[in-house]
Amino acid sequence: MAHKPSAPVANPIEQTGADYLQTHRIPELFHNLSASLVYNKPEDPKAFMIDYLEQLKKARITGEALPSLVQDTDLTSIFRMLDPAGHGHITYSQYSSTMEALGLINYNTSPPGKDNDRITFETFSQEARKRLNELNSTFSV
Amino acid sequence: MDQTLYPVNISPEFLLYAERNTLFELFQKCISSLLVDRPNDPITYLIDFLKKDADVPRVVILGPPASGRHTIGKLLQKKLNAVLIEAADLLHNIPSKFKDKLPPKPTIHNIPSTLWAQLFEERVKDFECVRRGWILVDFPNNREQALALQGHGIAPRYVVCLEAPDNVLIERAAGKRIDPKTKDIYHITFHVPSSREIQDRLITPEDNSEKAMHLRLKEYRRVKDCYKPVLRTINADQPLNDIFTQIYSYASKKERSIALHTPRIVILGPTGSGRKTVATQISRKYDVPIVSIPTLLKQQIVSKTPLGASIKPYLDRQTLVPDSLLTQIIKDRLNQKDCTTKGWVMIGFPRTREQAESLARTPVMAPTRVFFLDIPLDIALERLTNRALDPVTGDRFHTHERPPPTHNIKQRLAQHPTDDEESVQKRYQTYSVYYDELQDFYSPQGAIHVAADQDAYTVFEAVEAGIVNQLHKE
Repeated sequence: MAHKPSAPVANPIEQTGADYLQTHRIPELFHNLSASLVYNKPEDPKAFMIDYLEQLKKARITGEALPSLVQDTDLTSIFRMLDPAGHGHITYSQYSSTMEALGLINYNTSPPGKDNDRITFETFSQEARKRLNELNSTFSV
Repeated sequence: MDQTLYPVNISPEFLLYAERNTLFELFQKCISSLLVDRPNDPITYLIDFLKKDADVPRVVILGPPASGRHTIGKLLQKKLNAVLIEAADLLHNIPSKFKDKLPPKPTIHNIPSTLWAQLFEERVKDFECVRRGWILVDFPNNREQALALQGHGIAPRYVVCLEAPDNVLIERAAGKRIDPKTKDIYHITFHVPSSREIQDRLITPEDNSEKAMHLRLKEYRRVKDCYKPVLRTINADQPLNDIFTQIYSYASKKERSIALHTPRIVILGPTGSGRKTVATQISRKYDVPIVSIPTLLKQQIVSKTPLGASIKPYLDRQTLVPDSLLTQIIKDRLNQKDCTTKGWVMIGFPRTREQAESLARTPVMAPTRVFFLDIPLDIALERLTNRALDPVTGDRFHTHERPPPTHNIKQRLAQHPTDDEESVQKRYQTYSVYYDELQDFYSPQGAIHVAADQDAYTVFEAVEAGIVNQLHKE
């Protein structure tokens, strides 16, 4: 039985390049940057990009105000849409489909309140904000 | 977001926005710089990079001795206003941090390649070079130096190699003279200095003997492999001005974009010029949908839509359909998914200047290439009046180009009702009436004229060349 040849070994220089990009989360950075560009379509994309990067830089130091397409007011509006009667909580399936729709991969699948199928607004916005921050801090600390 | 779950619908407006602002190239430059320099703080690095990013020239001029590199280098420097870096100059201005690494009596030849690369890197990162661009003359001289340069991240955008047969070079070398005051290069036969004063000053440079030349030529040939993708070879055995214009146009051209490019092609021409033929060939080869306005209109009529009913009388009388009816149909078609993602080839529109203007106004619909298929009336007549269709098999024939093989087929051939001489002339006239204004409108944007009275394959080749090459705007 022939022994399968192993996958071609990446060129060592290529490998360290890929490592560098991964460590500094460059692909995510450009992903978020492009999303912002698609949404805002600024007249001067270079200036916009510089702004975004400066905001990111400041946020890295202060720990707050990361550039993000989803703001806290958006989270409030979203929750209000899911809970029009104003009960103050949503079902777990509402929670999970919203998290997916927001693009928050790897969100917390066992938030408090899952057992009785009542996710409060606080839980929802906390989990969403936590995950958003993780996705938006595209720098290695 | 997993694309299979939520198919991402990027609006065509964004694609146009990205194309217009060359976002793809910008991102590519950012990432390649990051990979070359690997800064520890990529965010600050990117901010600085974006702030100073400019499209400066980065040229390397190579050539065997006596091919005219320094002469060309000087001319380019004046024209492009970039910084000229010659190996000899670098030797005279070595920054102190390198001084102890030098061999005792440094000349051009005994400095190790890695040290050269460092010297150049230092020079190239200088503020002036970053701002104005640089022109490197006569370096690298051998493969080692070339690789060392690349290793330090110095990647020229254009490398020009001046080539000439050895005997021409040797002859030139014999007649070379230098003006010691200005360091300008002259030649006793080909490039005589303008004033008597300069002529008297000239001295003969050393190291141009035939034997030395042969040696240098041999070394030089090996360098070329390193720069294949950006290399351009120019024949040095031409008058200086010719060489210079070639290099200048090459060096000042913007890099060919490898961004995803949706072709939006308009093919204009009178009846019988072969627009549909060309469009079909393009569509088949590049997988681009054909948008044939006449066909769109006929579809409306056949589907018995109210719009179709209003269009019918115009088509029956063979006059132009008014723009108000046309615009919505065309817009709808062009906004369909296959057109927004793959681009389109359009025939049968625009026919007038207003139509051309309205097409240009909507960003998603503005064409990127416009072709005029030019053909004289008599050839168009010949093509159309002699063609016929076999209603049984659907084969098309032409009495001269492709005559029907048997008598039976010939008997049953039918001619299209609008292919008679009078109708053809009328349609040709309609086109001619608006030809001038269309020409005026599209010429400044780089419209391409193709002689359409040739065979289909030749015409297609010409059109393809127009699509693939960059536009020459007036």
